[in-house]
Amino acid sequence: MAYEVLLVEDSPTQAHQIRETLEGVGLLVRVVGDGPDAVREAMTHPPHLIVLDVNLPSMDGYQVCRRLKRNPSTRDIPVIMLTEHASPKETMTGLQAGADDYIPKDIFAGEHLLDTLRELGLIE
Amino acid sequence: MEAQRIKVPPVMLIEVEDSMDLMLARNTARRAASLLGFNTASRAQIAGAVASLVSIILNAGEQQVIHLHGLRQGVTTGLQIRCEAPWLASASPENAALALKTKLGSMVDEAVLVAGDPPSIEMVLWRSEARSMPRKTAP
Repeated sequence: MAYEVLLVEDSPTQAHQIRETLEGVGLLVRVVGDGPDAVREAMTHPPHLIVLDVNLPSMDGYQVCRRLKRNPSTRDIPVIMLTEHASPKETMTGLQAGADDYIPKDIFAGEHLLDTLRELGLIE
Repeated sequence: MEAQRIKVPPVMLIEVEDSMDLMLARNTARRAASLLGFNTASRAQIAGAVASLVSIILNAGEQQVIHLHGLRQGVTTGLQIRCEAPWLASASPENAALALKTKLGSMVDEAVLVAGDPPSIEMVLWRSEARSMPRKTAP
């Protein structure tokens, strides 16, 4: 069984890169480009994992994460925030919003993302 | 009587010389936390605490080594983050301790300035049940 990931990323270039990483380990990826679409999609077709950018049009990633974690139908879906906003304060904001991981988009991002997928039992 | 604290592996060092070391520091912190059984959110939290310490060191115009190691107290395991802080030698201990708590306190369980020559900044995050890696089960 292939697990489904909802990737929330408004930059087509970054979405493409992250998608390649996720599909490369056998996951099925759906991409949406903004927060309200992400919340709607997670409620109507719950994925096994949500990979969430912080910088999004109309609703930022922290707000999206809080909404998902408040909603009984989506709160158990793990959320990984993958972001360029990597200050300690922003990290704590993401974790307090309920994110299961907060990964800065740096040269180690791919490695950390795969470690976390392994930890969540989504890949071997 | 409180159980004695024992230093346990892993033991890792992070040399902080310039802002390029920030990424390496976060990565090393995550690896150390992973080896100690912290869950993913706690790894991110520890990486954030170490990143804060790197910023403090660089803002002080210093080059320092951050020491990471496991800590055991009774049945509880934690991760200790420590570095010398010579730039705080002339600061009032109360003010320095308060500043550390303000800057780092939300990310760790303990953030203290240990007197000495030079003084050291020490932080600890304990691995509670909620911060531990879950048993592996597919979703």
